[in-house]
Amino acid sequence: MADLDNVPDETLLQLVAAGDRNAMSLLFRRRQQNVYRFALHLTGSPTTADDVTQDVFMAVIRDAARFDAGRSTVPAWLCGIARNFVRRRIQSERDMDSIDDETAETLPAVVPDPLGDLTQAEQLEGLRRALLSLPLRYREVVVLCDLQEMPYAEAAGALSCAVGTVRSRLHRGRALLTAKVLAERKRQQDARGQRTTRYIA
Amino acid sequence: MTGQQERDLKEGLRALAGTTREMHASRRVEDAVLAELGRLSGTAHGLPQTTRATRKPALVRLLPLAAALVAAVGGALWTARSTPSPKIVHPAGFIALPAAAVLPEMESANIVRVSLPVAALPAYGVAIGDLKQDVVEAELLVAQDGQARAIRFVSDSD
Repeated sequence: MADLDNVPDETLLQLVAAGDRNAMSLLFRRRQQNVYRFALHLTGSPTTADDVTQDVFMAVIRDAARFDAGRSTVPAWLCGIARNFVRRRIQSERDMDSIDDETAETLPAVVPDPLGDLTQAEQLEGLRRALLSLPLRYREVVVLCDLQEMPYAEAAGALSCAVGTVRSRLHRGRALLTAKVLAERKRQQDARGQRTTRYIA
Repeated sequence: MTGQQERDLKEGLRALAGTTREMHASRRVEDAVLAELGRLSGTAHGLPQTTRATRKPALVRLLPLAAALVAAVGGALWTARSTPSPKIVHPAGFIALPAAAVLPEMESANIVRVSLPVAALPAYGVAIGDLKQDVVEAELLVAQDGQARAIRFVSDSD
């Protein structure tokens, strides 16, 4: 295994395609976190993230030879596979609805209120909920580019789309996320106001 | 979205990413993956190709596709987490091929009919019950990149 430590991912995949167990073990340890966190942020479920990670690496065992280094990096390829498995799961759960349904996601007019400190625990939980409520096509790109800090070109490879599409989805995804956070905050403030009013009355 | 909002959002997303920075798949996932690899070690990776001629001359060009299909169906055995029993395939409806998971999203597709040897199917996790013929007709859902994404088996009446 020590001999493989400095071997690039692409070479590990070639070895995996030839049935090398050590190469697979090393590739798994090197890259499973990318896949797991991507699936976790997309689904919000550690159990599902585990299942998707397993599905992805089973697929790698089967199809390692299909990796094309000219088209994407290994992390982007793995996230692309994970994305397909996540989409399948969400699609089967929703069955009747489109997972890219945008009809209910029209952008509201810009409200210039500051978002404030989103790093506070309570605000962070609200941000997590808002992210999970984004349409999947925006959630994917926000998770890849903003949470996992994947370069746009790599994200485009993972999502099978143009770099320009990544940029536009990211812009819209962030705008939707901002609107959702502000809306959630307003709901919370209204609820607090009502509680206070009842208490005074 | 104002510039300040964007900065706040990015800061929040960085903090959100930080909450999962140390998280990883559970040990059972690695065990399952390595067990699968171990189970397959010693198994020939090359799968027999479909050599049965098709009825339509145009389909001759699709023989590589059919071979890819056989390989993909074979993958069903590999992806199963427990020892699978052969599935009885119902004629209606397409079944996603395991290999499709690593391919780009399907944007458009054509349905292509091919002939596959029945004898080859059970070994790859798919069986069609009580058939006397040597060859079954199947339809492939072939995506824009020429790669098959799904299959359905068809009867003579289809």
